[in-house]
Amino acid sequence: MGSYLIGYTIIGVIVLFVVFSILVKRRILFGNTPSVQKIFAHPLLHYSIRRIGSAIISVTLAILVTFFLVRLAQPADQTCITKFAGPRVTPELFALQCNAWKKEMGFNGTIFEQLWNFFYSIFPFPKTLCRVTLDSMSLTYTVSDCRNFVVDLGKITDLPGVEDGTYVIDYMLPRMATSFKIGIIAVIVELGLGYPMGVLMAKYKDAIFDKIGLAYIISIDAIPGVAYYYIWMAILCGLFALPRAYSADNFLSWLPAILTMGFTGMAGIAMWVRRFMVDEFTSDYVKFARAKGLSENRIMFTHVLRNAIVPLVRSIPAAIIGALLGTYFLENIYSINGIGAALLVANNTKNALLLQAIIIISALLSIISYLLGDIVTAMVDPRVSFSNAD
Amino acid sequence: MSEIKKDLFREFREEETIQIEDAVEQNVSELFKVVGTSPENIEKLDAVPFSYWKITFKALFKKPFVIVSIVMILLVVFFTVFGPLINFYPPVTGHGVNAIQGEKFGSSPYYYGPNSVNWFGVCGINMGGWFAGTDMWSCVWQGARLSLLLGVVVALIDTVLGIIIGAAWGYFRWLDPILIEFRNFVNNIPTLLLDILLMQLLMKYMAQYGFIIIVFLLCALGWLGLASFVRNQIIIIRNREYNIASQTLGSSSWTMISHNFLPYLVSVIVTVVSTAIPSAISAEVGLAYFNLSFRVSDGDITLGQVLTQAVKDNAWMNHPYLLLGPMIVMVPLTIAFFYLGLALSDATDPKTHR
Repeated sequence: MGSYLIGYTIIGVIVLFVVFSILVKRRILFGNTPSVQKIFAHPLLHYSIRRIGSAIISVTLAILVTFFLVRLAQPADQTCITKFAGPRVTPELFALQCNAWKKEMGFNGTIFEQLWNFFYSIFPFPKTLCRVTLDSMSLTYTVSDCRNFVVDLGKITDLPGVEDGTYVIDYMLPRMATSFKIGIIAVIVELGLGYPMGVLMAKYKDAIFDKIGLAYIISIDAIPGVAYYYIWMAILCGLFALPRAYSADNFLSWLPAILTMGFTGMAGIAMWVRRFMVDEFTSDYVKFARAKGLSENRIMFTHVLRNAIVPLVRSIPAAIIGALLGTYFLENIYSINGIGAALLVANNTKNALLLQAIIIISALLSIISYLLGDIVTAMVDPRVSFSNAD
Repeated sequence: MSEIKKDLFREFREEETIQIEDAVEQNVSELFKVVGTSPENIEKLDAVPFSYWKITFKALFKKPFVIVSIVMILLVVFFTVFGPLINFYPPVTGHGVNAIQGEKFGSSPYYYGPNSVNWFGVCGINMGGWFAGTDMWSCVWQGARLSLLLGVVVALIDTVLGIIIGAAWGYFRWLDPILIEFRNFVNNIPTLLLDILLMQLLMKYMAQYGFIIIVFLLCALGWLGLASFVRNQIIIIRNREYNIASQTLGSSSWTMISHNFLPYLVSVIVTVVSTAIPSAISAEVGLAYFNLSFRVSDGDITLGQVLTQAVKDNAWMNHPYLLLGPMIVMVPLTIAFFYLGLALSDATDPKTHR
């Protein structure tokens, strides 16, 4: 009961806060009190509220589409038949078993009830979930293993090697941790190599380094990802003899995936850094700085780079949060037991429920990362106006 | 150094002024000659007539690598048509090596590298189904044929949809919120996940409508990038003077889009079409890696499948030719298309025309 109370309180406080700040912004409350206006009518706050509002619409859409596609792809009655029907199963037992399973998986009731339950389970609000098992001899339901959740992503059935009724969160979290461990190092490599590469390319524009860099960027854009990853595998594992298969306790075996990810992501970052810097070079303030006699290095690093980095800040939260999801191809190539591997399993076993959970996790994370990106940009860039952004 | 230069310059200027003044003082009739009128030459233009496409192609062929990439594309197209004929083993039925070199394949039991008959070697035992023991050269070119066809079809559909929807999106303001919400939705779900989900729905129709389904999967969201790009460009130029004037004079929506907006966007469109082909080929490789592409058992081979099968079980680490075969075709082809697209975008931009 306690967790429910905390949940209600938190949600109540958030709703009250949003309503209050909107009223203050409209000058209905505290219209003439500057100290309250300064805090609750802050443009950044209202920008965030607006962005979160539109994010909720997107995530609702994403959930709706996933919900209907999953139910079209795997009708619950069909699954029931393949799961429970058999020569020794009486119709009564079958109906009981099927109903129990449907109830546990959220397939019971009309489609609208299902949709409501689905949204309720994803809505970040504390809820208690239990495992319901039917004893086929005494025909009684037993309820066990009750736990409190904030976001309920459902349970897993029919996955080889995983017990039926395992919570998706339990299945996902260790995988996410693995993906994140590899991904975050890759992001550091990516940023650490991408920025200097872009800066050097812009500084020595049209020189030999710039040309080599451009050729590299074009080839990364052009060559199919899978082919490209295998080229790197040939170089890293063949030439440098790094281990081919990931193992958690051998750092050397992390390297091929990290370096491949880093070298791929680096090209995109370098391209944007170069483009922004080259654009900035023709602007008036650079000409002015040059006319005043500042050294080229000073112009480059204190004036141009600072301005050119602003648009790139947006992508950093996305890169960090994206690390949680891992890369689908690389994790399969190096047999890293992350989210990407779970996706392959879900695809190969045609497990729509696991797929649904992965899609919802990625949609939620991606919306959060876009949101953070926008807010960080708004905070960093003094030129962004909050009045009618978006 | 610079002071010497300045002095020289000043002297030169002075000399020039003196010369001109002298000339003016001289008899003007010595400088100019009356040629009279000629009715034939009234309509003749001395300036070279301006042709947009002529200048575009001139600028395009200035880059040596453009010719290299065109030759590469033509070469691949030639081989996709005639490649299997040169060394003919129809992949589905022939099993070239099994028929002709069965003995040799048997002597090195599982893998057989490039030789005078099987130019790219023989598909290894790690490659599933009938792939094992088939001539790699035939497989690769057969795959390139379908991949190329897929790329061209997808690129065309994406472009047409992207331009039409993008133009409407930019022009009609009421469409904006709807499509922006749609774009946010697509951005939030990884395309691969959506493809997997759609494929679970469509799997049972694969045998009959395979090509259409794959084209649908690749096109379903592919047009969005071009559409939102066209929309941004149109919003930028929508309120320029010539467009407002045209609208005030009563141009219809269709005229506005087809005569005012789209000609301005030719450069963008050309670029997107030529980069859409390699991206469609790449996207198919990605789908094939997750078993979402054509089913080999139906007799449809793509480059993606050849690659996916060849890298199975990491056998290529010991037998690199397995990886080299598909790569030799795939990598130059996509790079050539992509580079050509970038070169076209430079060449078709009127701002770079002199």
